[in-house]
Amino acid sequence: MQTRKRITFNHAWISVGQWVRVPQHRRGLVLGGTALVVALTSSALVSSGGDLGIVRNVEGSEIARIGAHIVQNTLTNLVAQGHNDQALDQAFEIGDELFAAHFNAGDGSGANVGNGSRFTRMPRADLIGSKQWATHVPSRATGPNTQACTDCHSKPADDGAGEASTNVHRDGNHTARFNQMVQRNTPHVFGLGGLQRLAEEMTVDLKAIRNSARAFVNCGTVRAATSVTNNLVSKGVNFGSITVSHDNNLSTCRETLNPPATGAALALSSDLVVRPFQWKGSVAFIRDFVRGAAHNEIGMQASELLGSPSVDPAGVDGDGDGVPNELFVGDITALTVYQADQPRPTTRQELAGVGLIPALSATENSDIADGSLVFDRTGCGNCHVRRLTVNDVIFREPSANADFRDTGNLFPNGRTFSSSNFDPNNAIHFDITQDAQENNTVNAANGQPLGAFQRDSQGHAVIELFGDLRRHDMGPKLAEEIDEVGTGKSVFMTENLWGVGSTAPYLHDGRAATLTEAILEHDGEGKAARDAFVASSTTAQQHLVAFLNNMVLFKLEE
Amino acid sequence: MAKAHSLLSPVRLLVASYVLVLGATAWVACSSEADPAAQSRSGGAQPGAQQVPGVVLGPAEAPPVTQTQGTQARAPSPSRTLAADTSSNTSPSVVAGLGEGRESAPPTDALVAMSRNLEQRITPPIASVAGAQMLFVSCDKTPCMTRTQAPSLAALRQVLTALSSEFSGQIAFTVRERLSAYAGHAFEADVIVGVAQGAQQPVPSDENDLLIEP
Repeated sequence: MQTRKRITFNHAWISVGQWVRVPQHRRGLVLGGTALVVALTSSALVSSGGDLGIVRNVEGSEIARIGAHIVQNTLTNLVAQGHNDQALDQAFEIGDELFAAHFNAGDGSGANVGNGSRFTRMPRADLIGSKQWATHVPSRATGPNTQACTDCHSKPADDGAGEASTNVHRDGNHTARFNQMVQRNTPHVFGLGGLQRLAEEMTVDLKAIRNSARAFVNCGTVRAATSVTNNLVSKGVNFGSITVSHDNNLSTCRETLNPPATGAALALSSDLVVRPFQWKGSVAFIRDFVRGAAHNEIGMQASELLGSPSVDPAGVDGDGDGVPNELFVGDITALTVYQADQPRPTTRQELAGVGLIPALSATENSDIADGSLVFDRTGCGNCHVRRLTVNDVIFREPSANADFRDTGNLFPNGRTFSSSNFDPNNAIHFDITQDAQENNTVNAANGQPLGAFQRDSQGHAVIELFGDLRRHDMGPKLAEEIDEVGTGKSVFMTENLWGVGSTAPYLHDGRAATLTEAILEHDGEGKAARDAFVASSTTAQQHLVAFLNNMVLFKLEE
Repeated sequence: MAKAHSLLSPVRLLVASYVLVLGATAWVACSSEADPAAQSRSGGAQPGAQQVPGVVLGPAEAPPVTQTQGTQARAPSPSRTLAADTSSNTSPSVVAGLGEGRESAPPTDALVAMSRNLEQRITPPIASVAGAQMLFVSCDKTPCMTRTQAPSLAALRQVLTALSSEFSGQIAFTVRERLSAYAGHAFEADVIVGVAQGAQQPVPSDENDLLIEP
C-alpha cells in the first residue's frame, strides 16, 4: 500500500485524563467573529416555512455547519478513481465533525417522544400514539437522550467512555416496565478498526474449521451416519467446539455448537460470527453500531434504515420529528470511518517513554511490573488476553467480509448497496498500522506512529486488547432481569481492558466506580480469578490496579 | 501604520465579510441546483482547505449558515465555501435521477407496483404467525425477495411454511439469527418467491435445520 498523505495536527498536548479536544470546526475559520454577524443577517434573508425552518434560519444547523451531507457516491468515486487518500481524509474529517456535532431540531435531532417531548432518558413504551415513541420506525429501544455522540463518549474526552450519569436505559421489548429494562454504560471508541479486523479474521478461521468438519463427514453426499467434533480455536482463543453429524443414509448434516468448558456459556452464536461490539457481543460491524446509536440515542436517523426498495427513504420521517433524511449513507460511512480510524489505546509508560507525559517514578514502574505478574498469576489473562494479532492490516468500509456488512449487500431498508453506490469493491480503506489520522505526529519507541497499531516482525498488527471477544457466563450477580439478545441473562462478552485506566466507571451498567469493585463483581466464569485476587496480598492487589491503570486513552490535541 | 490599521478596521472587515458570505451563499445555491454531488463536495473536507491554525472559535462564535429548503441544500461554513473544490475532477458522476435531498434514485412506478402486488399477497400468510413481520419486499431483481422476521425459529418456520403454501412450494430461502442491542433477538429469512422449478427449497420439519448455512 502506498504511503498516504497524513493530516498534520499541532503538537500540543495535555496530560492524560485532562486532554481536551478542540474540534476543527471551532478553529481557524477565516472570517472569524465578523462573519457571525454577517451570516446571521444572511440567514434571515432566506425564507423557510415552519418552525423547523425558523430554527434553521436563526440557530443554524449542524449539518450545514459541517458543510452538507456527504454523498456516498462522492466517496466511492474517489476510491474508484484512485484517490482513496482523499476519500479517507474527507470521510474522517466529516465523521469527526458529525461525532462532535450537537444536532438541533432543524437537523432532526431528537424525536417525537410524545406529549411534546423531544428527548427522554426513560424509555416510553407507554406512548403509543401516532408517531410517538412506541411507534417509531425502526422500533426504538431507548432515547433519544442526547444531542451529540460526544455527550456520552466524553471521558476522558471526546471518543472516550461515559460516566454512570450517561448510562442509557433500554426497553427493547416495549414493556414499559422497569424490571424489563437494562442499562448500559458508554464504552470508548478507540481502536475500533483493529477490533473489527480482529473479529473478521477470527470469523474466517472459525468458519474454515466448521467447513473442514463438514467436508470430513461428507455433508452433501449420501452416506451412513457419522460425526466429528472440531475445536474452534482462532488466534489462540478457544471458542469451544462444533460437532457435525451426518444423518444416516441422507446427504444432510446437523451441527451443534459446544461451549469451551463445562458450565461455560456458548462463546459465540451458531453462525460463528465473532461480534466484537456492545456489551453482550451482539453487533459485528461498526456501521451497524453507528446507525443504531444515531437513531436510538440521538434521534438522527440514517436513511438506510428507512423506507424500502419501493418507498423512497428520502421522504420517510421515521421518528415523527418532522425531518426526513437526517443522515445519508455517506454520513454513516463517514462516522464509521472516523471511529474505525481512532487511535489505539496506549499506556502511561509508553507516553512517558516518548516524553508526552512526565516520567513515571521508579516505584510506579515497579508497581506496574509487579501488577503485570499478578495479572497473570490470578488468571485475569485467561479471558483478558493481552495481545492478539491481525494478519491483513487493511480496514475496509464496506468490509470485504460479507459477515461484516449488511446481509446480501442490502441495507436494512432493503435497498441495494448499488442504489447509493456503496461498493465493497471500492471500499475506503486504510492500514491500521500506518494510517492513524490522530496521534500520528509522534512515534512510539520503536519508531512506528503512536496512534497506529504496532507492527510485529511479520508485518502483522499487534492488538493489545486485553480481551478475547468471547461471551462468558458471569454468574448471578451480574445477571439482568431480561435476556437482551438471547445469549443468556448473565452472559457478557469479555470487556476489553485497553484504555481501562481512563474509563471508570466499569461493567455494563457502570456499577463499579473502581477497578477493585469491578474485579470483585466477577463471578461465574470469572470467579476463579476473582478468588485469586481476593486471596492476594493487599500490596499485590494494589499493584494489579496500578498495572490496569497504566492502560489509558490519549490523544494529541489537533 | 495608521493607514494600514484603518484597512483592518471592523467596519471594513464587516463589509468584506458580508460580500464574501453573500457570494458564498449564491455560489452554493447555484451549485446545489445544478449538481447535487457538488453540495457534498463543497461540504467535504477539502484537501488543501484553507485553515488558520490557532484561531479557536467557541460555540457561540460558530457561524450560522444560510438555509434554503429541505435538509441538504445548506451552505458550508465559510472556510469550506472559500476553499478550492479540488475534487471536481475526481468525482465527475452522480447517480442518475437524483434530486435535492436524496442520494439514491427514487423507485420507479413499475417497481412500486410490482412490490405492492407482492406485499398484498404475502402479508396475510406472514401476519398469520404471531410476532412475525415483513421487513421489506425487494423486486430489484426477479424473482422478488422478501425479508421476514420472527421472534423464534419455530415461528419463522411457520412463516416459511405459510409462504411455501401460498406460492405452491416455489420459494427458496436463507435463515439467520439476528442480534441487535436495540432490537433484541430475532430470526430472519430472506425468501425468494416464485422461483423456477428445480430451485425450490422445502421447509424442513425441524426448525433447527433452518439455521445451517449452505
